[in-house]
Amino acid sequence: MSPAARRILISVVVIVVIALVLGAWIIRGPGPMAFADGPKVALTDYRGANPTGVPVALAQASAVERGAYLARAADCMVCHTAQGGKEYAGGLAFKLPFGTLYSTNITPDKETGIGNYSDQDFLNVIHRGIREDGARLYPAMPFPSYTYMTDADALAIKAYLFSLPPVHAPDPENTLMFPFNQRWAMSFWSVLFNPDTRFEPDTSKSPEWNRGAYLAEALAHCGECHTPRNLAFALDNRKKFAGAVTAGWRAFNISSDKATGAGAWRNEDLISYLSIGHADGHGTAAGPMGEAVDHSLSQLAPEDIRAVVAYLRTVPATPSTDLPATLAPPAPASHRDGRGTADARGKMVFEGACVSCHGWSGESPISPFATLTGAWSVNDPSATNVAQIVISGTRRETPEDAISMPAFGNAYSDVEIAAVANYVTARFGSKGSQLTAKDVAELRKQTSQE
Amino acid sequence: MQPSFGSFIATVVEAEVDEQGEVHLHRVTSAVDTGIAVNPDTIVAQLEGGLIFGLTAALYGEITIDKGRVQQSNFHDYRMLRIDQVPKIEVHVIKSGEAPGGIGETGVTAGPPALRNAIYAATGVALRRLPIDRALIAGGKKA
Repeated sequence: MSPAARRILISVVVIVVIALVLGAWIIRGPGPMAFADGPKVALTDYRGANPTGVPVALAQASAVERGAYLARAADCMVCHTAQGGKEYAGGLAFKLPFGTLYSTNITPDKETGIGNYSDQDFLNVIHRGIREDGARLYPAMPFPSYTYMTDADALAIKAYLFSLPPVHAPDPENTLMFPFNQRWAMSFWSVLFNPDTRFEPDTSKSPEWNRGAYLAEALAHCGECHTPRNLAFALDNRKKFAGAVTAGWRAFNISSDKATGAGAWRNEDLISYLSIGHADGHGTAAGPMGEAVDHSLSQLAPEDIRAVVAYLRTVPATPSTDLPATLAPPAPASHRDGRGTADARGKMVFEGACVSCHGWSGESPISPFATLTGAWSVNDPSATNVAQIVISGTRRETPEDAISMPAFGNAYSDVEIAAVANYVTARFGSKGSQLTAKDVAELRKQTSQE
Repeated sequence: MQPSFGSFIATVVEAEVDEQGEVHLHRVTSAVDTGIAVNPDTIVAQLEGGLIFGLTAALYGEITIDKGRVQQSNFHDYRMLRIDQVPKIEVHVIKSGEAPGGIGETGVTAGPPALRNAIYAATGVALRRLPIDRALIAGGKKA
């Protein structure tokens, strides 16, 4: 090769490398807490109240008790339990466009669970997504969020998990297609998208804000559902908390945008929604958020919920352009008045199966939990969550008088479910949906556990 | 034409099958010879109710069992024909002096085969299992 050719080759290689690095940098985007631009210090140098760990009331508790609180705050159980399966024994299916992933057994069973994990092995999983045998985890396990957790908190969770009865339950095989079944490739993904760094308090913010940031990011991993993902399936924090569709359900915009986010919610509404999964005038949590409330958020100390709210308030506003600027008021009390759909089947299904609980106005005569008025789901022109809840219902466990909605998916066809979803969004929302039977079939697939 | 509980009944269902395989009922006509008609109005009412119940079974009456347990639990997953889906029903009671036959479940047995034959006439698909499998008759499928 002549010196000139070599120079050209080298410059081409350099340009390609620079372009790749720049491209990676651009797609990587900012970290989850980068919007707070105050000075960050290491936890040991922080002078405010400790934002990590458990609430004061539990500070003197055993590692197992502290771990129990933190495991609930991190909501480990919901994903690591199959429908009708033993708690923490894994096997829940995650349907992805390129195959199915299954959650793993995290009981201390030595053969099929994590019974052989050393403290360091556990930290490698939580902070770096690396299994005890060296294999890389997929980011369905939210280690890019858990990476902000302190060693002490992660090991308290381990102590709690190791206090549970071991369950012998081998993990189902994932069915990912090539190239997604190449776990080693996730090491490159991790270099780009897992910051592998612990939580650093922001000294310009209050201790309450820092506690909220730690809870929301390192433990509750809100962004894993509420922040849209980029092409590489990592969180795009340029649109932090702007909402996304995850596992077939829409996680709505919880940024501080007033029209389409949580910016106009009163503090007590946010506290109520997080504590009991319902706030009057804003609807009721169902699906994955219902589970997050039942098994995680409802069990948090009141001061922790207030801290999360304080943190949420500061997340920059990002509007959701597909959502209407105003929520629809209650529909008329008579079925003859108000909006509907050209397809008569929607009203037929609604009056046969829905109206006795939800009412013609959308304000439930039975329970505020069943009121549709004001909920984003009925104001969402994609009707994703309306269709999902008709298909699979919702089973809420908190508060004690919560009522559940039965699943209608097995008795009603895709055509009927699309028709009733379109009727519900037209009647109770500000812009009706145009769901088709095919859309409903697709939504069924995304939440099916078969 | 079928013998049923000591009576004789003939039933025609007029129905439409749409692209998605949903069945829309338009009209049901039954003629019944149940022997001497002591209370003709009750006979008509019994047949109307029985036909609706039988058509419900044909359209929605599926019971599935998983691990030994019936999966259906209530009306959200085990449907009934609603009042707005019920077709016009015409019942003709034949004057007869014979000994009275049964009428309580005569309509129930008449609905499903008549609907099955209507679907065969509409689509050419000869269903051999009930309840009706919409996937077999969707999209203008032919046998």
